[in-house]
Amino acid sequence: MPIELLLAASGLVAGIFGALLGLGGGILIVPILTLGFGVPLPAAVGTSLICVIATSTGAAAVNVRAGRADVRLGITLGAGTVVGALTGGMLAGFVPERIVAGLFAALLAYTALTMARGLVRRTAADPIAPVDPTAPDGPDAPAYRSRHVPAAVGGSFLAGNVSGLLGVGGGVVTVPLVHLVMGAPMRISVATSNYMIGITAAAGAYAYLFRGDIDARLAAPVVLGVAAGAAIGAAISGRIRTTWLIGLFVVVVAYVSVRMALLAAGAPS
Amino acid sequence: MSDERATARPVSGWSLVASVLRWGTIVAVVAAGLGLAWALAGGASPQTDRSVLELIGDGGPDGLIAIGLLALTLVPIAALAAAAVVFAGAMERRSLLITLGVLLLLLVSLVAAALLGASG
Repeated sequence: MPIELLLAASGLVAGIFGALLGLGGGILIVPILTLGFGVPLPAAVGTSLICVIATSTGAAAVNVRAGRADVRLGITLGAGTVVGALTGGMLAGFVPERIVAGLFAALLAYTALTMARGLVRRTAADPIAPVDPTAPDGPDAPAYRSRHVPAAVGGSFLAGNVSGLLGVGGGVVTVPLVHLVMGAPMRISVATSNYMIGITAAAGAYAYLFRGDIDARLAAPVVLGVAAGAAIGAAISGRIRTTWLIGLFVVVVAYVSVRMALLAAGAPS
Repeated sequence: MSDERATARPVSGWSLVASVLRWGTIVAVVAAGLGLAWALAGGASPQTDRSVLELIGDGGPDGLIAIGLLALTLVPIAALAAAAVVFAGAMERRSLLITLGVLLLLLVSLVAAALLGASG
């Protein structure tokens, strides 16, 4: 099978997962490229950031039109993620690859644990009151939008650093941030995170693009696959139960975490 | 933590932002796809260690791919500009100022990366 097809298929899977879980897919793309295709980490990170943008814009187009994303909140927190991504991107030039791989392994482990805990605690939603994420600021604004804002912006800065350094969108931080810290419903948190991560990833991607770290011939099929996957994921997100998907994601991410840790340790991965 | 139930209803006011996101992504991805198809059909050797500006300057299939990738990174900027238009029209001053601030940050990062890349 041509390598371009394999790359596109990898992107497709990452895009679907990303759109369904509010992530950019980078959490899968970076290890797939490094472990599966032997791509150097800087190229993998840069390619992943471009793919995160494709996931975000593709899914956000659907979510914004459907009124699921809180664009106002996304932009407010985006201020934090953009600054964080810029600092993370600058750090990336100084941090050795094995340390980046180790940090990525830690991020994956954290993601697997967080998602697994969310699965265990998962119960039927207890609707209290309907909330409109598109309502303007003011008396009709959803209550979560003004809850713990400084902490949320601080967490967004951290998410941005993670994004710029590791080539992910930061959704693994922003989804729990919006859902658990600010108290937004999960679907709004996922949709808002999907919108935000494109802004975040763009801030980090420019450095890789203009430095020549991204292999165009390698990035193109992955981006095509991710764009298609994100559109599919966003279209079906309201119609499927995500429990099994999250369970599969936890297993995959835990396995990849071990592989990345081995890479960081210099052992055969 | 509250668990308010989300309502989801179509919002016409955001159709501009959604359209920018949708069509910007489509145009960028199509450009990258055409470039890739051209590269595969023509059998041209890949250009490595070249910045996006160098690839575009060189032309050819990798240049077209680079145009697509660069265009994709500009979609969030275009969507923020569209959001600013929506907030300006609705006279939401706070949201407009925050949006313009984030837009400015992204533009600065774009220009800085381009200048640093060109000088490196």
